[in-house]
Amino acid sequence: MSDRHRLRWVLAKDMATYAGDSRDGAVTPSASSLRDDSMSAITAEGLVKIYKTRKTEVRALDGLDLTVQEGQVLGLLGPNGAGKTTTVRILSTLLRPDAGRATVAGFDVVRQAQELRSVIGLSGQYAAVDENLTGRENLWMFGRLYQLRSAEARKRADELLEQFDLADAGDRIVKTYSGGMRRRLDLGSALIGRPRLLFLDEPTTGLDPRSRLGMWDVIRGLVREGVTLLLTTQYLEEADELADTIAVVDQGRIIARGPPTNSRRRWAANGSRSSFVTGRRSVAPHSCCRAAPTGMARWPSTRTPGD
Amino acid sequence: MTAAGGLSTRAATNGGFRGALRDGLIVMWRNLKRIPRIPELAIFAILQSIMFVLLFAFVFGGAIPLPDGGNYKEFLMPGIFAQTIAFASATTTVGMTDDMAKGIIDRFRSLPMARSAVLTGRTLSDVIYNAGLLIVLMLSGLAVGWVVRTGPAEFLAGVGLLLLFAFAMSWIGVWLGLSVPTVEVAQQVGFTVLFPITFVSNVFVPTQTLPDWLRPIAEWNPVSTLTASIRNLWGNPNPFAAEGLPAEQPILLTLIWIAVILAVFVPLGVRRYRMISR
Ligand SMILES: Nc1ncnc2c1ncn2[C@@H]1O[C@H](COP(=O)(O)OP(=O)(O)OP(=O)(O)O)[C@@H](O)[C@H]1O
Ligand SMILES: [Mg+2]
Repeated sequence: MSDRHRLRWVLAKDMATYAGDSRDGAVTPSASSLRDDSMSAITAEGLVKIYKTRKTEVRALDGLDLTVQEGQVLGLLGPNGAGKTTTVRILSTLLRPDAGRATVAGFDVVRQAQELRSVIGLSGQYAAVDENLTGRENLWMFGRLYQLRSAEARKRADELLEQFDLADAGDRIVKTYSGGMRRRLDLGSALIGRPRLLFLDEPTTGLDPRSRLGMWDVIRGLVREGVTLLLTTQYLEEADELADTIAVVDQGRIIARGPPTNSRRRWAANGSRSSFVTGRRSVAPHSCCRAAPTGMARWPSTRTPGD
Repeated sequence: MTAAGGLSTRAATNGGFRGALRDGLIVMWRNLKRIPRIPELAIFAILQSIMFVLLFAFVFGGAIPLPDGGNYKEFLMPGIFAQTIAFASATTTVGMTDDMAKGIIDRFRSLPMARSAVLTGRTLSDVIYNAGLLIVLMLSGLAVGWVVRTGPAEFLAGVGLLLLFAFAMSWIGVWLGLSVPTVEVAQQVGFTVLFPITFVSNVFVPTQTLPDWLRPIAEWNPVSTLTASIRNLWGNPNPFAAEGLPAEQPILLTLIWIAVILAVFVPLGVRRYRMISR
């Protein structure tokens, strides 16, 4: 691990600290930034989710609105317990909202859940792969259940093992994988059916700095191919690097929304740097998080994902 | 490679009975693959049964005379088969809870697969797992002197009945597995319920030895009716004190039990599975 990498890691961790008074400040209210035009791949309006346990009720989502345009990346940034995972689970049909409605890829998440499942991919906060199968068996099985033909599932499994640097470990039982390897396999599982829409819940939590950069590369590759992406993260830096729009969630609501702070992001399709001038005041970090450090080096572009 | 390209490679049968069957078989394949990878589960299930065989055949058995003087080991083995299968439902429960805890169920629920497949795949693989346990136990039974005294048709009928019962018990396991929060609780509940069911029965002792108030419970117990059915089918000793339905029609009663268990626990299990999204 180079010193630069270590530094980036420390900075990234540092930025995950959130100030408590996140509701004040120069933030754009979520309602006014909500546009509901026909190109939006994800629309959620007034989502409410209440978890009832024996004694308490937790209002995990409290009227959450969001939109993501087709081909765009929304970074959902927020502290522990903000409601990020709950949002992702509702939008990926795993959970029913108690109120509000949401459409993803034109399908209602409640009424057209089954249709929706065949166009999305989900990689949840904790790797959900079968520990007692090999990596290859996991991918094959999820491919089959994504309704791919057996030969196609096998081919996709090989491609994804290659892409995620798991080719050598492909025939090992997942129990013997490291956390980062599981995480990569989990993302691979989400990509098995080439979904148009991807939900990634904290995709780089628990990854070492290098794997993290690798994961960013993969994600950027997917975006280049036109995948719409909703990504949650606790790292401002990560949202900054990957997202077109950052939405800050706290206590079950979007409290701020805007383009990334960091005007150095935005890479043209060929990977070269292009300036991204924005007249708007950046929204996310000032009120809730510390600003991103300046002068951060570009990430290493090791391989082109997806080919 | 385009993002939309995936749709064209879908298999033709998406949905309907065939789709459900295929998805169920894939989940079944997955469950079966896991068995040799966690051999301890099967090994201890078999060791536990063999321990009961040894304990009762050689330690307690001598003190348990059969009313008509039959061979105790022959009497014992059908009961051991029924008991093993009842206990195997705990394996289902633990497996289901484990899948929930590890997020596999969530992964399945995010896929465009048949909703029923997770449950049918689980119960079908459990039947095959039980068949494997039975084969090993039967070989051990032969070693201690158990034999089938009737023909192959009766033998197969007995095996069929055991596996049908395994299927029904597995649905109880599914429901329980989806209803309890952790694997440890699943294990506790399983054994708390299973021990009385398998011991207040005709598995180890002839029911004549039980007090009057307990005897009907023991005789109508599904594990008992199953054990009695198999003893009858295979010509093994099957002493009964009184006349009555459990003595005269154990097979019919067992089939009714299986139907009742399925009628209650299939809908309950399916409902539980649906409620995960609440
Ligand atoms: N199954 C559940 N039962 C009860 N409460 C829950 C459940 N899941 C989440 N919660 C509560 O709902 C709120 C939002 O949780 P959620 O998991 O969506 O947060 P998050 O933003 O993903 O947090 P983290 O960054 O820690 O992953 C929290 O207060 C949490 O305690
Ligand atoms: Mg979360």
